[in-house]
Amino acid sequence: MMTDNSAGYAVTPKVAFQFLRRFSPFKELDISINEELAKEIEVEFYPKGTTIFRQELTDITHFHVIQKGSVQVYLRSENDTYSLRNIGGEGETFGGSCLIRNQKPDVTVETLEDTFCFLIPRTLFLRIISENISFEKFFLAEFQKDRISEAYIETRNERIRSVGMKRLDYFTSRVSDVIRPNFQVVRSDSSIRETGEIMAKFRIGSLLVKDGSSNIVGIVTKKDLRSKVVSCGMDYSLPVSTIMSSPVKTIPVQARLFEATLLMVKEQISHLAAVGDSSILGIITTHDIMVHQAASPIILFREIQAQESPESMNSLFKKIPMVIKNLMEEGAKASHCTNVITLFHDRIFIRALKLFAARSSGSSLSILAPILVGKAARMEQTFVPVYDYIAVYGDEPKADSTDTTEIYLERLASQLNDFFGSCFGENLRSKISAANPRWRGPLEVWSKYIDDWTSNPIPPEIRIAKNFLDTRSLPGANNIARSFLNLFFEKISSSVKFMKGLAEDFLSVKPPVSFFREAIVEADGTEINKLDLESRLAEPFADFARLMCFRHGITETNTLARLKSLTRLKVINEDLCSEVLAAHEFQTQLVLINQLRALDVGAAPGYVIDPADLSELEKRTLKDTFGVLVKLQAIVAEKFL
Amino acid sequence: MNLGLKRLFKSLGFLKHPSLRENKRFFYDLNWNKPLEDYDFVVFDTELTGLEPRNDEIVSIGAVRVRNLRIAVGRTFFCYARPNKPLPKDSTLIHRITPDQIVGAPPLEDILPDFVSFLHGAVIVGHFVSIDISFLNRATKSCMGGIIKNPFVDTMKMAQYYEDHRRRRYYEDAAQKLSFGLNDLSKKYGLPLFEKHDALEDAMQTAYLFLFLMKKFKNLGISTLRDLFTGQKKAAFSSDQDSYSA
Repeated sequence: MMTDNSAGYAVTPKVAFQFLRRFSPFKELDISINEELAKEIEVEFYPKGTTIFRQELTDITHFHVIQKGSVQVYLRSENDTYSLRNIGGEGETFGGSCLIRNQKPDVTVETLEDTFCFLIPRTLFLRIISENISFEKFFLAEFQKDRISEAYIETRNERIRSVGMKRLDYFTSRVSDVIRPNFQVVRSDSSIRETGEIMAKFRIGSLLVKDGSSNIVGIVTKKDLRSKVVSCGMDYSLPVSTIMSSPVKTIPVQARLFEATLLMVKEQISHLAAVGDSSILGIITTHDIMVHQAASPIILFREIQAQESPESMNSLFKKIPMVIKNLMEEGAKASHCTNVITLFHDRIFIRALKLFAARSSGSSLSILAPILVGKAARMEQTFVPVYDYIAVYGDEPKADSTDTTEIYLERLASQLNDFFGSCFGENLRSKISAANPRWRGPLEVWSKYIDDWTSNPIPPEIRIAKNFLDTRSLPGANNIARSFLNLFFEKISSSVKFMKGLAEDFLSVKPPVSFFREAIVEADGTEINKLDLESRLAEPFADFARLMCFRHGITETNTLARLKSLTRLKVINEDLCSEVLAAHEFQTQLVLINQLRALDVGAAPGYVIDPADLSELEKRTLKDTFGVLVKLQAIVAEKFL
Repeated sequence: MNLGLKRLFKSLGFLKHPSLRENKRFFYDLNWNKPLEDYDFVVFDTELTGLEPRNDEIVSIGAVRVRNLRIAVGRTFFCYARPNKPLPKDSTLIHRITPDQIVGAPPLEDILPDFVSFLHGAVIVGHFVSIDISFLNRATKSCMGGIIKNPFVDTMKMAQYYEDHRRRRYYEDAAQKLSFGLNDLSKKYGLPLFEKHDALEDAMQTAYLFLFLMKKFKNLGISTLRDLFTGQKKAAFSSDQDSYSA
């Protein structure tokens, strides 16, 4: 045998090395390990239709990584039925867990196209496994908590940062976006006392001063009153011209906010008159700019509370995304964010209700007793607001007053609906409201609905009825609302038939199996190009938590709170619980970030994502999330069917 | 012995390099009837200063071994070789090797024995391989006193055979013009693609094409080395050295 002197001419195989550096779990390994692997790799070609592993038969000699092409992975069960487990493309691996456990394959792997694979010899694979814990975990852990937290951080860091909301706002917003047009003017010979009274009456902090020929000559602020009058003991009957600042500094309404800020800082003043077409259109203050810019939830809560007309609340909605984005940047969990968003909408709801009720004469607010249902009740609002609510009122109203209540409620509810519609336009996704006569009525009517649902739980009715299983009354609700909630809970949870219907509904939609290139693979093998995170993930998680809680007498409403209660009662074990929580958290974050990005570019926020926009890590994690749903379906199937 | 005399003796075959003697012995005894998986293949490609064997020279060799019908991507051979004459300008346009890259490279004479060792025991594979073989043999004849005896297979002819077969089978339009260039075939068959005109990358590309065709040939009843060479005479996509060098 000749000696091989050619080793000096060998080079690190670029093809394998560069490929490994692109995919998990290799890219997480040291470069030197990747180099070693690359040198030992062999390329195998499997024509379309080749069975690479046969379930329980093939001796696995190599760990496989798909370089090009695709495979399907399926499981043959005892009764010879086949179920698709995965479709894998470039970068997908197989054989790992079986090599580690030293077992025959537990699935069959077959090529769907002509496929080239990188083969890593068993001994080398096992050695690298033994030396790299993270590498082993990748193949063995059913649901990677490390992976999810990694995906969570990746999504957060890369995606939130790309949302430029705050910066854009400050540099693109104009003075005209912020000014208060309803400014007041006093004559320069008015007394300081009169001026103070006008400020108090209109709840304003400044007003303009005009001379005899109606020219604006100065501005008076609360600060002038405090520092020049009160603290110096000045006579209140002196003309306002003695304390006004003059002349009034102005800024064009088209100027940008930061220009206004610069001018104020330069002049050391806090008020500017905004000028358009040579006349003053309004006043802008440092406070206005601060509030406009503020991304703090507290300020936004206060602002909502301070509004004196429903119409003036409109501009506040636009701030919610900015506030939430800041919270997320500061590290708030996605589920906390949906809680905060819900609190905003609660406040808006309560405030609007109060303001509209105040407009209608003489009726008491408590009559409406709005009860939130569905997502709003679960405190899982996103940037696609939902104002689903119903109205329940007393059981025994007098004949004539029922009419009054009905008319009153109808007017109030439709005013509210119009208001929400005008605020959110097409983004609003409300389905249920008390403006619909079906969803408002006395307790006895509701009681009948419940009886109908429980006695004849057919699928379309179940879909409607399940909204009412998530209920929450707003602060200040009356006893009627509370008794309604109790009634509902008892009747539903004691109806075996209804619970079975709910379980069947939950099981009716199978989670997708996997991702394949730019598409998502359904359990039946079909491929879809868009994934609705709401209907395919968020709702099923909520459905599971609701179903199990009703069965076990848990009265929580929020999905995470329900899951935690179920774990406390040992209905689900802690491992599963942490998987579900992590999966739920991940999908919520994905929703929020995608919606933020849509808002950022002026598009309508939604729930549908395009798999092409996801990173490899996000795809893997979503796939794990589908896997968690499969487990939950198995639990429900076992307990209810 | 002076250098001129040594060259003369070598070219007349009196001073055959030991590697070549070993090479001849190995292939003299070769069993042609084993399944294809049992043979080693070396897929190789050269970069040349031009296409005229009398005047032009090899400036780069890239090769990769195929064992068990799998590409052993770590078993590669790659080198630049310094030609005796300066690199013609127009050749740089094709293979992207610049005079700077080869100025410090060893002469082909120093490299050849190692490359012959690398080829040991393997059937040679190349795309339009006869050109590369003729350059290689011209070089070994002058530097090592003989030619290599490895049988060789041409992937271009394999592809022609495969396409002929497909046409017959699927009644595809025979008039349809097909390109049998390495790159066009690789695209047509959906192979992973490599950079063009680098000896090792081209060898790697050829190896993928070879692997693809070999697996497809299994369905056409080609299972031993003899099938590949003699069983498919009509195809004539391969040759052993004797028939070529005669």
